[in-house]
Amino acid sequence: MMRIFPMFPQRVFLQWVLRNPTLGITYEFTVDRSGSAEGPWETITTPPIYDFYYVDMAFPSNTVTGTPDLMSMTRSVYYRITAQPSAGGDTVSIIKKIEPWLDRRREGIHRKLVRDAMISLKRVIGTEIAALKKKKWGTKCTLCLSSMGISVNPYCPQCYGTTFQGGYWTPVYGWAQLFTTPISIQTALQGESERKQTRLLMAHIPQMDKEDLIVFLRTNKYFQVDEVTPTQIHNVDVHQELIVSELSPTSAEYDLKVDPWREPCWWV
Amino acid sequence: MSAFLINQTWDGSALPLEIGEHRHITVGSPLAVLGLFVLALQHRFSPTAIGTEGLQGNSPDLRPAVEWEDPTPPEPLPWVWSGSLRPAEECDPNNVGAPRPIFIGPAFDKNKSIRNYRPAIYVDRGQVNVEKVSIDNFAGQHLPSGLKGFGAMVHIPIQIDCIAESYGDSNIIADTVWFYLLASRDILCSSFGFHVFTEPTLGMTLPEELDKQLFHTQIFCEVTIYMRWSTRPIAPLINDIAMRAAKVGDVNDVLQDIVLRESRS
Repeated sequence: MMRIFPMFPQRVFLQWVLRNPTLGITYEFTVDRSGSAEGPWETITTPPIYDFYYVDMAFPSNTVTGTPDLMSMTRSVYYRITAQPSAGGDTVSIIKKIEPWLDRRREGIHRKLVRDAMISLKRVIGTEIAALKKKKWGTKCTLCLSSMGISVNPYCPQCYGTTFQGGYWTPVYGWAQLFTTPISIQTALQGESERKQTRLLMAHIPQMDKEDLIVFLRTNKYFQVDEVTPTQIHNVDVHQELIVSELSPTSAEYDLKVDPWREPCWWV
Repeated sequence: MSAFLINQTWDGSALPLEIGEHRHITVGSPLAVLGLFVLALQHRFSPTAIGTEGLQGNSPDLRPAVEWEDPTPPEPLPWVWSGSLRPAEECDPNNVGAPRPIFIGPAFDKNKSIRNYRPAIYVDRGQVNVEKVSIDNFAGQHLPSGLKGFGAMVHIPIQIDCIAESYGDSNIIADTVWFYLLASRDILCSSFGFHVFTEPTLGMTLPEELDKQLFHTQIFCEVTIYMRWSTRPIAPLINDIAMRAAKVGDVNDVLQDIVLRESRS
């Protein structure tokens, strides 16, 4: 499954999910671009990539002739993603058009809403974050798996308890607004335990899922995603509202490092 | 029975103790049994296991750690109890993958310096039952002083909770604890005077939602100890009640007044 999110005017964010992947092997992905669903296709990822997303930045300016144009409402850009199992076997590919879901009028509304959300998050209400997607496929950890395939060490330096090497995909940097809620303290078997579950507003990319992580770069606080509610226009995401839980500073996820000085650059 | 009668002078303000016993926790009380389990588990997860000197202390954090004297050192575990919960890689970034400190302590400890720490082992007890083994629990009487001795079997269910961030972690920590208790039953029984120490039961590993999804595995066992206590004639209390009853005229009225808090004098 593939989702294409144009980040007007200069970038396109592509995100994909493998359905029923073969566990324990890696997949390499090739992204092709075309002006038509029939081709011809221009390969834009050389060498192939091993991540869950790709940012097509080949839209330097809409004044340069001979380059794809995101500003046109009559010309479209198509993408084809091909997944090749590292162990050999059949390849899988999917073709999609930018904004295939909306009619002409709502395309404009959607672009406006997305742009407004991004600018609002960047300039007014948000702070810098790193979004880490938990791996659901890939090469298995060689250090901590039992014979049953279960991770026996959540602090494993190779998989961080996810059973897949690396644990999480490459971080996607962006902005988000964190709402405040009180920290609830309860007396449990473990003595006094703390929990802080709160709401978070972020852009529509990357599409988040339960157990993914959000890291706030200014405070170095890690949050785990519990629920995702996308705000949509005709089933097309505009931004996401998440329910997140702040992780205890001794949680295994704090072993994951992100770049605290990274400046997200989705909107120039 | 006779040990504390002969060797210890009882001033009436504390529990009768044997020589060397802690002032507030008698041998055989459920708290003492919990402490013993905590100490035994800390010993199991220690990088250099402690000797018998450590077992005599009452505060696990203050007891002196002595070098392991057995020629066969304990097996290396991916978790280590050392009293400090700072991860090794925090002090040395190159030490990634070093054994992780594990918390071992009594449950419901509100005064811990660290919260939400994993992995952890919590020791708690269930409902304590007393089993009568003699008529009115009576064991004997010291005729010159009027002091009576009693004893009964006390059943203390022990519950150990192994909490970790992954299913496998919790499962294996619990497996280690379970087999350790199973294998050392006879040693603990003979060393600490347990009457019965049942074979521990290893429970299922279950998820739990806190700040993130955790997993906990419970281990159950039951310890039966022979608990003893004594009473001596309490003349002042009985005289006080008798005098107040004589003043009012009916002992029932006095006691009802006390219960209903109508008598303030």
